[in-house]
Amino acid sequence: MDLPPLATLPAAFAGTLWGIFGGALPGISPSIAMALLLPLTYGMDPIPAIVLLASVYVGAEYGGSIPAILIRTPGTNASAATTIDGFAMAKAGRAGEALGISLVAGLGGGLVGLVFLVLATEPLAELALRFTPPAYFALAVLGLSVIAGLSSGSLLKGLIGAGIGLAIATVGTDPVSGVPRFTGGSAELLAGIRPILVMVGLFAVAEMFSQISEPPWDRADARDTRLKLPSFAVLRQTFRAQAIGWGIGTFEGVTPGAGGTVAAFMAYNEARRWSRTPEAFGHGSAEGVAAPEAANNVVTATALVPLLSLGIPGSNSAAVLLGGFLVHGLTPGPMLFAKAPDVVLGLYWGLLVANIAMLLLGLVILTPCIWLVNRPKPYLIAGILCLIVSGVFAIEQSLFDVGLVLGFGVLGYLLRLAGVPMLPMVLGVVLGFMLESNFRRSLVLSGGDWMIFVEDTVSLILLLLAAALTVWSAWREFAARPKESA
Amino acid sequence: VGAGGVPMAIALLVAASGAALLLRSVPRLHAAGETVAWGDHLRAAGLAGLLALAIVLMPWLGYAPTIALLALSVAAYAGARRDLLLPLVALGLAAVLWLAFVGALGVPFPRGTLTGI
Repeated sequence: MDLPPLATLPAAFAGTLWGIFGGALPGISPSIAMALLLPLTYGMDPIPAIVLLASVYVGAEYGGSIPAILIRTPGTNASAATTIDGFAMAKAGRAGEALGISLVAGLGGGLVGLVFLVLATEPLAELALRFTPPAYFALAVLGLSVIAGLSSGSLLKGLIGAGIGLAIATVGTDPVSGVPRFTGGSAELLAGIRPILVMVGLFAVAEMFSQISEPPWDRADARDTRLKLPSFAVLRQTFRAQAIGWGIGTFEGVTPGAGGTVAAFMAYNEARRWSRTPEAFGHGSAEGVAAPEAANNVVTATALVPLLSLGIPGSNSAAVLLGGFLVHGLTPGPMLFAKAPDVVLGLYWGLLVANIAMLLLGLVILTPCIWLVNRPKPYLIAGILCLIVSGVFAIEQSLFDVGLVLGFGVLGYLLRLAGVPMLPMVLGVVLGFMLESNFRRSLVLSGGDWMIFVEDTVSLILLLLAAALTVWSAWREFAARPKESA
Repeated sequence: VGAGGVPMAIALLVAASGAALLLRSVPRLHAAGETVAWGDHLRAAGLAGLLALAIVLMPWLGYAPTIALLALSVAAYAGARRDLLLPLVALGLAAVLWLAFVGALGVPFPRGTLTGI
């Protein structure tokens, strides 16, 4: 096979840069960043066009982690898990180190995902085909099973947080009957509440409400002012966490609908479970940054498996990429590999270049980003709030959404005072629709027979796994208590 | 299971967890004797008020003037020194965000009915 045209190189670099820029702006999701470039690809050759769009996806998924670490504002849904330890490191003056770990773990994740994509697209696609509504329901339950680990020591408060998150996910049109629920007659709520609005409110706006009363940055402390790539010792220390991210990201990526958000949260939780220093998680753990970043970036490649092999877009971003294929008369699916192998090969090369571009561009832009967040605190708070207003409005051109984010900011501030952890709530919002819609579809399919959840093999395996993880987490919490009180 | 089934189950989960938490917390309430930092909460409420005001004003003033005003008021409220730098930063921030969101991304922000901007 021939090498792809040289035009893929600038396309990959330009796409990655645009993606990092879009991903770093709260509200500009990877799919929006891709969709904005879609019209540009009409006049391009197919390979650079597809590479351009795929590179935006790679760049945007990474870019979302930059504000997540520096200002506790997840630029994308999938970067929410990175805020936990990334921002804790930044607050401790280790922003450059956190960004360096994120960059290298992201690169590693992207490359591992690419290898999986190239070598295992067909066998992994068969796994995706086995997912029926009961299996999707069980997958959501598996995702929720990490709540115990994300509850910061209070399972009851974690359950309350998850319940509030699940309740938020029920707002909008009922997924089966089409009945409006909890909309209060508002047309803006008919489509439901986007998870990114909840996350930006809970994490970023609530953080600003807390920061307004805290003293200015301490100029005497040793705050990082430059990007700091991880040493070999740190890479070795975080290897296990990254490997967990690779495994979970691969599984979640090939499953249409699961995506990077669930992968990142699960990777974070499992990395803590298997860590030698689980107590450091939540307080600036390098592993706590590496695991979700590796998982999130593996998904950028493995999420393309169902698209390329079956023609199923498993996410909004994959749907925009599908649009890019269709614009050029290409139909993703089993025949793509036979009819247009040059395009598939070009895409693989493009993703490789995009990941390398991510590293090179990260080396250039991250130090200025750190400089920016070390400006005097009053200006930083003003800048972050203006960025949030702009980014949130940009999602749907809706001031109502900006009002919702303000409301979630107030809710997040109050829940913080009550000690309710945010992460179970975010997980509830992300998984709520998947959980309910597939639960009820399954019951419609079975005529109301609940046995469908154990008769479906994939569903049964996932439910057993969820039960095992929950019991294990609960047992560890229980076993740890006497030691703490001693 | 109808449209109300899952929300009802969630409500029961939250209610049961809340009740258990309350039962566990009541004996500790009197012992804790924590003071409430009302000053901090009022400052947070003030910031929320500025944000709410910006949402209300944007259709009247337009995107860029509202952002400049929001930046100015929040920075001043957060303790920035009242010198020339303050309005310069506010205007600069509004210009940069306008370039990013309107210039580069083409987001159609509302034009102000009062300013036409």
